[in-house]
Amino acid sequence: MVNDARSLPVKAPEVGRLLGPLIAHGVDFVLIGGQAGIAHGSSYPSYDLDVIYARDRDNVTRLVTSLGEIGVRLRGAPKDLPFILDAKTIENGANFTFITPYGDFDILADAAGMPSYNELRAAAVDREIFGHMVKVASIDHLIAMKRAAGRTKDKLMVEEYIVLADEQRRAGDEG
Amino acid sequence: MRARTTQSAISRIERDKISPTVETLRELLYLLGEDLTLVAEQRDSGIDRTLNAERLKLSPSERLDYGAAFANQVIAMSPLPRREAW
Repeated sequence: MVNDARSLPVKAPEVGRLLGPLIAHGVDFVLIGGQAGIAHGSSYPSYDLDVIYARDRDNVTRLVTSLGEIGVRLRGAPKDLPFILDAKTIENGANFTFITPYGDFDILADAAGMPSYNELRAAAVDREIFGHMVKVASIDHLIAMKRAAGRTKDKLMVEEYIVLADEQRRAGDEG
Repeated sequence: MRARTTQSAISRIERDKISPTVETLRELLYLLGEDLTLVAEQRDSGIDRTLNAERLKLSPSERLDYGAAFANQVIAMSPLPRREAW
């Protein structure tokens, strides 16, 4: 098995199963990345689930509890690399890429192109996703993040997101 | 100055040190007997708007279900190597 950028996971993430524990434990997070784009109407496939989480201690503690329930392992790390899933580990790091029984799951403290967490959260739209109310990053913030990421696939997605933003405005739908 | 800017500014424009403002460009072109016309056109990004319109008829959960099915189909058909599994 490989973990380079040109590899694919064995399956797409099960979004409901990954977000469910976060919602159940009251984790403060915003859905970003390709899955957020899909929730907005994008037709580009996405192979992992990305969330930005609030960094306060209480939230990190809730996040750790949720991750423990889901079952996570560092993606691409040697299996014998010690990894203790606790609040201190998360606070000492920022962005973690995990493999889980439900697909690849990335938790990020920040991402290139995003505003402050509070701004990201304030502009996010509430969407019902598999029975849970989830904050989904605004299409404008997704465009900013994809532009900052700058990979070829991100540039293609930006073009589609601009069209989606236009469609949403025409429909009078902010999300 | 006839172009309502300074000689040094024009020199810097000529040496590619600065870009003229739209107004300066308009003035310079006017003095050359031409009018500046700016046109904004929708970029042909190749995006099929009908696909997005179909997606927008679905609920967010339905969009994600559709996206997961599509991604799994791509994974099944792709020659790219697979990452480690759980």
